[in-house]
Amino acid sequence: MKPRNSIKGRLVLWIFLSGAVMVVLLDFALLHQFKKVALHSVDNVLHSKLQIMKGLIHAHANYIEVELAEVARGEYSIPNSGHYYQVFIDGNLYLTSPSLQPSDFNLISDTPEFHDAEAREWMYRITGPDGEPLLVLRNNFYIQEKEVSIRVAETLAETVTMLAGLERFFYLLTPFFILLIGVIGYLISSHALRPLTVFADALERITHKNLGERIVPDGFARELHVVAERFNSLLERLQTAFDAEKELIANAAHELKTPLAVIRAECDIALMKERSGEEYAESLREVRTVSDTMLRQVNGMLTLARIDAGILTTAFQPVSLNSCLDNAARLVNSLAKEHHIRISREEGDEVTVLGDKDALTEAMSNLLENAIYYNHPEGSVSVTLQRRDNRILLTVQDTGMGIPEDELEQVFHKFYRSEAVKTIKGTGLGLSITKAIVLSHQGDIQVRNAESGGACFTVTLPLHDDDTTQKVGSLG
Amino acid sequence: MKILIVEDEQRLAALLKKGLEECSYAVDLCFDGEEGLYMAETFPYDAVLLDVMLPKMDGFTVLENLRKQGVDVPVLMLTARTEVESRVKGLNRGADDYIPKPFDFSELLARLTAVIRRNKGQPASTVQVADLCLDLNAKTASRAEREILLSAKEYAVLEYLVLNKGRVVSRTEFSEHVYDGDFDLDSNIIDVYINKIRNKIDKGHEHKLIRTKRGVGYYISKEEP
Repeated sequence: MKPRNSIKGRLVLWIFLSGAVMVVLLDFALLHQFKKVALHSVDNVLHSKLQIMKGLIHAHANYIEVELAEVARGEYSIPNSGHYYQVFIDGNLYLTSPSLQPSDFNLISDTPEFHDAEAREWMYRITGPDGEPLLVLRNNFYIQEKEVSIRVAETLAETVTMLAGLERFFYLLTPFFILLIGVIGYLISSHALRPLTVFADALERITHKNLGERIVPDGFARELHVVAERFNSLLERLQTAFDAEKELIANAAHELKTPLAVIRAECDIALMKERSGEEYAESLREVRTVSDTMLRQVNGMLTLARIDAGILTTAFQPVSLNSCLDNAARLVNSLAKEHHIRISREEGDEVTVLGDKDALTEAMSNLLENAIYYNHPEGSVSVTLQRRDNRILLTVQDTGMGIPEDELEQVFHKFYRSEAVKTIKGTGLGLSITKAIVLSHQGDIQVRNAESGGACFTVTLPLHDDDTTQKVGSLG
Repeated sequence: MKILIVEDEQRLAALLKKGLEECSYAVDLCFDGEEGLYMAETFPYDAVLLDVMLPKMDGFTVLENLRKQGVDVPVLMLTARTEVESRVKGLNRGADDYIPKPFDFSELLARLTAVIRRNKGQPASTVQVADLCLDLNAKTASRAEREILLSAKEYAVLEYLVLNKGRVVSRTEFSEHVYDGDFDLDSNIIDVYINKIRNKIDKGHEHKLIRTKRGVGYYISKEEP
């Protein structure tokens, strides 16, 4: 399956987008600020000029004297210099700077941009006589009850040009910055994710052939250190399972090769020279017996493999353990007679488990068969089956020689056969199968030596109660 | 030649005994490592077939102990484990050969014969004493190009004599190498076999090969008496 999206791609995209938005916002903020500063400086110039002019207007007893001749020199004398003023007295144009042509050019518009009522100041932005943008400051005040109005204008042409240039500069620079952020984002992501690549390379080296190798977590960042440790413990579990599997295959091969050796030797020796018909028949019977053993072993291995694969658990149904025990007892009946073993049963009320009937019967008959095989002649097997709280307790006890204490743990191992009982025929798989079946039913199996001498197997299984299921069902 | 088989799979052990006895070998059986070690230390076998996986003591340990005691009987390891390490381990501990299970019986026989032959300082598979010729593989004897029909026991006695040519072999030694441990020993039986063999190989020949050392035993020699 193709990975849906890459961490690196997303990281680059996020860095790129957020960087781009930030650059654009910064551009706007800077431009705005520049504009504000530029206009503010023009504003300051207008105000200071206004103050000077106001200082040059004197009130006399019956007339007003305006001494603007000093001011009118310089920038105000050059026509269309962009620096203008007009003085109105009682609404009539009284004085105009020589630079303003025509001298009655209207420096104000209907809509002031700014109005300070207390100081009686207005600010306008208009188009000047040369078509240039102008900022105009108008101030009205009274001298000897005459209303004097001064209008001072300064060109904004330079400011506008400067701002336009600045804007152009930003517009050119912004894509470059965004591109740069993209590249930086890519580099950062690559760098940040490099340990992941190294980690992946370290994983790459581990195959089923060198499961014993581990990732050395020390070189990695803290986050990957944890991943490496988890991964190592996963490898540990896998290796255990893998080794067990290998061991099982080696054991299985060994177990099958021994009867094969018997069959081969039987045939080779039979064919070594001419023999009587009875001798040949004897050899064939031997081969037949050994092949039966092999078949039992192969079937046992397949059963184990099936249980391990979890095939059993898919079709669990309520099963009466009592009827399983009936069937198991019937299966071993002739064997018990052959060995002169008496089987006694002690059962309480009928108990039901959720499980596979055939498997449970096999588990029980395995226990019974063992109890018969590893018993003294004329011995007995006692079976109890009863309910204890919400568990079912099954015990199978024989009157045989018991199991050496140091081998109790091993009797459930695959192909394990006690050295003391090698002469008794068996596959070494019966108890492994029984245990696997019990475990797949969420049960448990234990073995101990009874005080009377024989071995005692105890199986516990969870009780299946129709009432409880119904209660759980109604709750759900 | 007498062989000790140490093998816990009793069916296989019994079969090997049957097969080897039909090939003129005397065979003793035991089914665990401890008994095997005791038997191999105590009785003079010509070869030991030793299984690796044995109850009580594994084959490697049996072999190690045997060699430690200075018992240099040829040992053939027998096992279903075919891993190279397992084979190397056996050979390193003084095994003379290694036979994986399941084996071919004729191959086992050939290897066993070869190991015994080499151990007796006999590199070729045929032995010659004057004009008497023994084929150790085919287990046949001939004198002056004429084949001599011998029973399995007769051949076994003759073979032992020939492989120890020039040396006097006592009746006890004969019975130790020709009969298995279950046999009730009566050394007169050896005299009976020697007589039968003499009738078959020396009768009608000027040059008698089988000689008697009075009070000690028998020997075979090509030298004129």
